[in-house]
Amino acid sequence: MTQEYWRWPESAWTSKDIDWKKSKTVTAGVDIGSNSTQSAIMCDNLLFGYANLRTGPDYRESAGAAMRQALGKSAMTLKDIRYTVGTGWGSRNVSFAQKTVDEINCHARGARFMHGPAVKIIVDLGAQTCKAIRLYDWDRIRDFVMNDKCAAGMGRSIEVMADLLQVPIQEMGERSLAVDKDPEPVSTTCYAFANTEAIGLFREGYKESEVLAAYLFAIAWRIHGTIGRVQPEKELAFTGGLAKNTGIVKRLEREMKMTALTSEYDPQLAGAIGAALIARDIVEKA
Amino acid sequence: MSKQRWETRPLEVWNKAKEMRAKWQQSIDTASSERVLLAQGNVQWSIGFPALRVIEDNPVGAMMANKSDEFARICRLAGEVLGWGREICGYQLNCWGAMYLGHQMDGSPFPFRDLVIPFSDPCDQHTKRGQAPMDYSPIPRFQENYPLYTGPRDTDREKAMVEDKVYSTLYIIEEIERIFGQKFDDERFIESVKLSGGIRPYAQDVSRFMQHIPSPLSQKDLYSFYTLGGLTKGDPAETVAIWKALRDEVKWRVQNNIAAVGNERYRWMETHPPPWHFLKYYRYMEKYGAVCIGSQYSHMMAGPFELKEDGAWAPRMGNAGFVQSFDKPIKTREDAIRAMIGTEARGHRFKDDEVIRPYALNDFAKAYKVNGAILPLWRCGVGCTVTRKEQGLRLSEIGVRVLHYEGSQPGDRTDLDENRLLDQLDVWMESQGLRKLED
Amino acid sequence: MITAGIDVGIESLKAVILKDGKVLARGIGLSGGAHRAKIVEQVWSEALAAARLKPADIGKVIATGQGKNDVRFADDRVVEPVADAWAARFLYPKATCVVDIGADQVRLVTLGKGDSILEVVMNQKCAAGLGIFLKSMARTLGMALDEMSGLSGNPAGGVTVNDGCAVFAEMDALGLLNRNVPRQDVARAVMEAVAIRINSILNDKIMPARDTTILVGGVSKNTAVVNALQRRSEIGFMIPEHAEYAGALGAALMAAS
Repeated sequence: MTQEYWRWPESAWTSKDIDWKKSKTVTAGVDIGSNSTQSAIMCDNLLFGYANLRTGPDYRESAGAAMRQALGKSAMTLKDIRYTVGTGWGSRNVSFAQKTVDEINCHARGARFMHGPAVKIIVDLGAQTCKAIRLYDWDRIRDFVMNDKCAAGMGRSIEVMADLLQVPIQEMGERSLAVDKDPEPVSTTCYAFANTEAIGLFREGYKESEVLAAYLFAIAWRIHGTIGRVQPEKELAFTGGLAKNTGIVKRLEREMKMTALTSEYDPQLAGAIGAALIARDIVEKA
Repeated sequence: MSKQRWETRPLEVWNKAKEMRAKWQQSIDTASSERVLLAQGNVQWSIGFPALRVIEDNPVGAMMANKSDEFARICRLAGEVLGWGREICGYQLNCWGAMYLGHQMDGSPFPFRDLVIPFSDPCDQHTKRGQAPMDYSPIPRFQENYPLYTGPRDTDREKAMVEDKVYSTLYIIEEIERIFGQKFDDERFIESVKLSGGIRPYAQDVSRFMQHIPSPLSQKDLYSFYTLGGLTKGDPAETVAIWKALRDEVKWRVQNNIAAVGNERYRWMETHPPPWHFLKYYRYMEKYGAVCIGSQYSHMMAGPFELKEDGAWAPRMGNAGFVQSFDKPIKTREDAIRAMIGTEARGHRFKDDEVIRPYALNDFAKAYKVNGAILPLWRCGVGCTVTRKEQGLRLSEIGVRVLHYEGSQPGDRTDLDENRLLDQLDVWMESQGLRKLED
Repeated sequence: MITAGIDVGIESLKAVILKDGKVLARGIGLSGGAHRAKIVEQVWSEALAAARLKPADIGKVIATGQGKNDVRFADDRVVEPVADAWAARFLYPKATCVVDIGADQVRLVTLGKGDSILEVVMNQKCAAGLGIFLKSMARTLGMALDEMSGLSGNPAGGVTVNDGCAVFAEMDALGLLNRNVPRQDVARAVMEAVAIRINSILNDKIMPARDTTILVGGVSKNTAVVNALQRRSEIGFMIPEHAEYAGALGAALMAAS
């Protein structure tokens, strides 16, 4: 059985301590992305359960699976959830959601929850896109920018690269940091060919860490260009799957000359958590 | 390493060319401190204003690409963040990015422009050229018209085009005098026009000599000279002298079979311009014994040429447009302008042939006896790329082997996979039965 | 003399051991990245073992493919189109053209007289039509690659994806999934797009001959793509058994010449 280098670890967790029956409002958020799907269940202001799994070819099925895994072995069922908000690329496929909300607002809300009110710039590093969001001091979006269609590889191409190099995807970041100085980034912006170019660097005598460095530096560089347009300032937070790639995060921090906030929460959950919180807002306003 | 077929030796006149180029670069860097106006553009009459120098973003962008991947990249990002698209010509993105950062590669202050004189060109990026310095600070702009005509020679049309050029040139000169309070030095200008006419015949000889087998010069050698008197302006007498010196030396090389590439066994041509950040591919091709005899772009100082019906390679319009053919003594400013306006005003520049006349490359290929042609496709270099694929088809029809490769733009290394290009060169050579002569 | 050819591609590497025009053994493995040279050794020993030979029994080894320099023990190296041409002439003496569709490159080689090659056309960059893309798509669609390539039937009306850019095609495919189009239909649309793209490369300079064109390379095993390609180009491709070994075979043949 060949090792699946591209498969990143999925996760799910349900709280054993929170007595959800005593909560005032139980809401949920489901974020269906083109590559990964997350769910989050909030009991008032506490995270009760979550799941993070690969989006399959059947989006409805993925949403259901994410929900089931977040509910886990608890006695809570879908019926106990007061309101669900769906978000993300595939939001229309959260069939049990009462409403869909755009992922910009959901990410912003989720990031403020995870990092506190000081966060001003949120950069979502996803599978197909990167988005930079600038917030006011209150929870409203001031500015927002997204990458152009052509991008030197977001999450999708990293999977292909892991496969080609036979490096486990969750190790790519760390391995890329084992260089004294970054080489010039891979020049190709098209992510289909950035891979080929990176592999061509072995021919020039590059070591694996240097190839990874050139490749991830290129991704960070492209993202840096996109974020530049919202004039980043402190505090900064990264969300999305690629926020877990230290090779990209460290390089972004270096280019932007600022360190991002971290939190105890999985950065991939920001959209789902935000959606669940927005669901609670809706319930409380009604 | 196999024994060379022909003798090679470096060009003696190369150092002088390097010196002249450096002097010109110096003059741009010190323009501001000398309180001399710096214009964005490339007008031929700038020498008439003692306190005016001209520079385009092309050579700046190209030099940046050639000298530092890192600095060019940072400049392009600076341009992008300010709203310039990635699809903008890399020369501009490099140069104006540096302008936004305020400094050049070595940390010295960026030479900000005082006025803009762009000209239109088959490359539509050219008219955009002036925008960035104008966005940066409110400076005057004078648009130079540049006609482009692809049909058979039409002398009535030419008359009209020349008149238009003369009129607009006189107008721009007067406006600069008025706005900047500078006096145009007619005597100096007339003198330079009379002198500069001497460049062309030497340049024509040099170009023609490269038809010799083995070629005495290669494309890389040409790059050291082709801007002298054109893109980079210096003292006219000195410029004529270096072209003469080059001509004399190349003539001697031809007489003695001194080659640019000692193992020349394959001759190839290309189109303008090359990837300035990756000029080592010429050296790579030399490992196969392949010499690049240039492009119509790099031969531009010779003026437009074509293959006549009798097989001769001759100037397309004879002496028309050269100061030598000016039919009366040059006494006034207007006389000098009329004499100075070369074939450009008649709608023919050699370098434009590459773009506007798909069969022009065939003429060039036959005259220079090429075996193959490398025609890059530049995604962001619109003017460099239009009609290239078609030209490739035309060249194939006469038996010239064609290779296309892709990239962003000659000044922008984005999207040029260098190792893949080397692989493509290997495939191109080996599939024609040629293996490397050296590692 | 016993000879061998080793074709090191970006995704997989292939080895062929040849004696008097007969293949004694084949070996295949995933190339990997940094440890490619090591994997070459591994695949090589496996092929030798299958042929029951020792390295000393091999008279000459020629390497080809993008990673040809990683075959440290090769006696010579040759570019892929030349290897393809050798294989083509051997497998089908009447062949005039060979189309090689691999993981990240497509090549069209037109054969001239004797040993010569008239022309080589390669995809420049844009490659909706290649192996890496198909593999990635199969993963997205939750199918095994074999399953996807074995899908029969034409794509459903109105279900198409971009046929110029693999990235755009992938985004289109995801959009179709989002609209709950059955994944088999999405798969068919993807493979149709691949065929369209390859066909446009075939059209680039010289249209290959209808009856004397060979198809080799890994993607030639994808029946759905091949059927769509045959339909669109109207070329009756000759597809040899073990088509993905063509490069290695060609290199081995050249070594024997």
